[in-house]
Amino acid sequence: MRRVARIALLAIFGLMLAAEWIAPYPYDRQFRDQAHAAPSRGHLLGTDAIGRDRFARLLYGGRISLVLAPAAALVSVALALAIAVSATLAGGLWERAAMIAVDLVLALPWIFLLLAVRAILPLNTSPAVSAGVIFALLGSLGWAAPARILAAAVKSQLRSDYVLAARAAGCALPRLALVHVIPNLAPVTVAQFWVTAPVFLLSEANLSLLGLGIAEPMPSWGNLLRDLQNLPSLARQPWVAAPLVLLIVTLSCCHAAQPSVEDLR
Amino acid sequence: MRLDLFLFAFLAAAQPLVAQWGGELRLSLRSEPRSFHPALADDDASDMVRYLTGGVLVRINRATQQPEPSLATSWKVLDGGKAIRFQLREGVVFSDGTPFDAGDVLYTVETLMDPNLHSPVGDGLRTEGGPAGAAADGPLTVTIRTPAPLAGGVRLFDQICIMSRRSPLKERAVLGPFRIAEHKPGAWLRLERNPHYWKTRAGRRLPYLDSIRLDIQQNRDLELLRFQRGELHLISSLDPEQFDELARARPGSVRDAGATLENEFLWFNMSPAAALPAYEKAWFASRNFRLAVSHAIRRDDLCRVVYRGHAVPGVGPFPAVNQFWFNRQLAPHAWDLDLARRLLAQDGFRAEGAALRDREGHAIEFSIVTNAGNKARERMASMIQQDLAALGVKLNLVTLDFPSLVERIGKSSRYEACLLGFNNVDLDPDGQMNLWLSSSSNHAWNPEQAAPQTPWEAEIDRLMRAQASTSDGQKRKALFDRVQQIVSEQAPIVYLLNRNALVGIAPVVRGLQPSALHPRLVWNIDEIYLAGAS
Amino acid sequence: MRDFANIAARRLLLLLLTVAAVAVLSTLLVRLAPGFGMDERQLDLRLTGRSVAAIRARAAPDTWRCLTGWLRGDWGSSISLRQPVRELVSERAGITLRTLAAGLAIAWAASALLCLAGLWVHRTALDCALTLAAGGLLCLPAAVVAVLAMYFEAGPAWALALVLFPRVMRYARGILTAGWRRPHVLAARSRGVGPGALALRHVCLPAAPELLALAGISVSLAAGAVVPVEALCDSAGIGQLVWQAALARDLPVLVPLTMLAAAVTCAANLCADAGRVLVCRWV
Repeated sequence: MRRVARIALLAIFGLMLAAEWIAPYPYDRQFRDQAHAAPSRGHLLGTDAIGRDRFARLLYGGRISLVLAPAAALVSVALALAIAVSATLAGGLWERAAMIAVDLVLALPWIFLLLAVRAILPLNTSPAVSAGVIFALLGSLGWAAPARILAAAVKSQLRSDYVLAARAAGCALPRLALVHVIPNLAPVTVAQFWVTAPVFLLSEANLSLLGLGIAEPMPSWGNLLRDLQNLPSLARQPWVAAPLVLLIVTLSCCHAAQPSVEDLR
Repeated sequence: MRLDLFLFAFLAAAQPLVAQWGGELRLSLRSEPRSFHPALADDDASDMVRYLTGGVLVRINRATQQPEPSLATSWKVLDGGKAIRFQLREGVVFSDGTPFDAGDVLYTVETLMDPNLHSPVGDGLRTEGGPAGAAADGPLTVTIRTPAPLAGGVRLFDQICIMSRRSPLKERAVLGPFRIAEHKPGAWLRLERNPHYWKTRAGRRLPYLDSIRLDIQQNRDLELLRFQRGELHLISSLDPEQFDELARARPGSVRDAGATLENEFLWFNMSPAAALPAYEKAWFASRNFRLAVSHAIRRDDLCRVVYRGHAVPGVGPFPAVNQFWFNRQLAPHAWDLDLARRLLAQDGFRAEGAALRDREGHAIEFSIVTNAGNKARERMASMIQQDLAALGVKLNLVTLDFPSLVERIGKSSRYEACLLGFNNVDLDPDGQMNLWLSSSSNHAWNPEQAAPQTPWEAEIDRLMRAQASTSDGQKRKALFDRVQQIVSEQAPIVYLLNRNALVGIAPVVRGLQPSALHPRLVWNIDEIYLAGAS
Repeated sequence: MRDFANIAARRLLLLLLTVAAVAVLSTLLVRLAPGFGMDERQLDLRLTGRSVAAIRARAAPDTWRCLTGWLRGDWGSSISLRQPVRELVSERAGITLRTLAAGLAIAWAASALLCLAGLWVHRTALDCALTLAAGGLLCLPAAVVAVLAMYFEAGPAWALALVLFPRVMRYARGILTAGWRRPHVLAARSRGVGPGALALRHVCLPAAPELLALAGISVSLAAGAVVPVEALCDSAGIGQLVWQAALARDLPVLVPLTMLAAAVTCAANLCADAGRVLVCRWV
């Protein structure tokens, strides 16, 4: 099962990376006489509202979504892990300060920071750069929720026998963290990652309502998923759901392909 | 055939043609009304409530576009347009029984002229010479005076709802066919029939409907879903995809009422204070550049692809649906890349490979801002991007949320080009004075000029002021025709298209006459009824 | 008991300070964001220049006065809706509380049921189905979830539950799976402890601190998710009000509601922490 998932993932990533050679057309080429076309030999997944090939946009869009969203998730989970482990191990004032910071970060309307940063960027910034900046910000702001859960998990670890034994044996805090605590947080940490990655991918789609998403004509799976809002037409045009299906397949393969807890230990 | 059966069959068939009394009409508002005060209605939702509840002296028939008597039975324009005398209808009372007379009209005008009110309707009554005043020449005769001729004239009074000076309910006492009954903030608003409405039919007081329920529904997909389920009777604005979807599923329930006054256009930032490089300012200041861009855009494609044929190419400030004011000598700028290249060559632009460059060798690249979340505009921008690429122009699309957009175009001037639309509510060009006058804050491409910076803007200023200073319709028409011609020649605004009015109407609703002018479906609300209601 | 009271008092004080900090920082964020002080009415062609200037002035309230007012409990009036903020909130609070309570209850009930079923049954097919279901729901944009919920006439509570469920389930599954693999659980199984007692006493109870932390975090996730859910479902709650206020940069509405959300989040986490302490002492 794991092997199948890994092969599937390689195939998907391979397709995305080779989009320039596999995609039949550039993602922004408009076939205006064939808008909203059904799948055909010329357009495997049909065309969108202004005649752009959906298959090409799916391939090119995967690059943005499958690279930037997981990268942002990695950043936020790594930050959460670092903060949770160091604050909980340090205890006392540091732990309290970290939890206050978590509450603050969770409560503040960061959307306005994103708007402010977008306003600072020059208008002629390329879509790729502005996408990178937005995902970097999402990654650096998205650590709070995972941090709280990881902190509770660290606390739980600290009560376990092997940690007590390690501390009794004089194990220093950094070693305790790296050898005894963090590896045992693997399942929870990995769960955070698999929740956070699609959340960031979809955040990009939701942020496009405020002008913070990927700029046209560059596609992303997030902005392709916006077409699903028109449910009645989905029954007549089920191929519009292709990005959703591919996203579910990709995430499921990632989940199935991940090493087991024993392998991580 | 037996006579009784024949009569029964005849009556059954004729039933829908005879107006039915009673029932509740259900439609939606796109946002929470900000105010129920008739003078402060400045958003679409408040405007709709005002239309349904307010009584006006004169009502514009949206089908004929002509003013018709309402609370005023007749009127006379005097003193070269500086005064209008209204003869008021006798025996009219407000919704709480308070009598209506000339004093209420005076009170309304006085309220609108309050300098701290800042009402769009009130500002329409102000001329360059100062505010309007009113005097009663009897209990049912009132004269409205302005220091300078009121160019919009009698038509302005279609938007001025008369308020009671005596009623304890204040502005909640109304003269229209409905009054506000219940309001659940954020959810819905229910209007009930005004028991004292002055219009009658067959000896009974109109309206036919008992009530109207206005659900606050921002999500268009949900609105469509509810319409398909029969929970809503009307949708006043469908997007083209929804229209086609509904036309396929329920063919009799949609109507394309033709081109509206709502136009989509783009303009370039020509403000000298804009933080743009000098060479970019030079591009946008070049008439040939603007015209070339206009001729490179395929308007037919925008209408056909984005609006699925439910739009017409834009010509100028008004489309042909504005029967009197539209300049029929003008036509949309045709798609012509050769002409565009020739125009550009005249100003020293040249193609180098795939890129267009100016005299100094700068590649022509600029951004266009538009508001995020508007699918049609985003698609249009993508198509314009491809059209201009054929000329070698690199266009970058930037979508912004609305407040950020307003800040850039209205305050900081930190933009290069903008794609936006205007929802004109007024047939009269006087309603667009603040767009055309160079000193105005809404003079899109270069606002608040101390003095007109170009001869053609000076000419437009002169023409607009001249048309505002006379009440002679034909003279005004000639003057505004010239304004439209200058706009077409100079292209400070590149008009793209006018959207059609796409509406959804449930089969049970009768008496409707969909119009391209606001409010599209309920402009004759007192004549609308529901089949099978009573 | 006295220690507990002291700790509770300290935590409450911290909560108040956090809420005050949220007020200041969120005011700063809104103030710095582009579009503050702008009103779309400025683009109304019917207005004179004087009216446009007056509208601009009204759209940018005195920030310092607003901030001191909020910290004193005076919430002022909404710029965009022209009503007292307290009135707006009190009209809508009931709807949002019901949506939150129902959404959280549905999400937790479904997650608990499926996680425990996954532990008891332990079949690959069930695991795959749960992964796909959670993954699929995570991949749906909030707008699609809202339309789906309304399509099936389920309402905003179900839309919120659909948004929360995959997150709660994934986290909970990770926590419970880790707990299931502990040596003492294996020992209990080998001694013939029944699945119910195994799950509750040997898996859930030791994992209670993490589950309580998850419960606390799910409240703040719900508070965040209720904003787009109510806005997209056209439900007249506080979430819809926050969304409209954010679009309009309506500072007098945004900051008090942000303070309210912060208070709810901190209170939820405070309760979770208190619960964790009690459970740890008991276990």
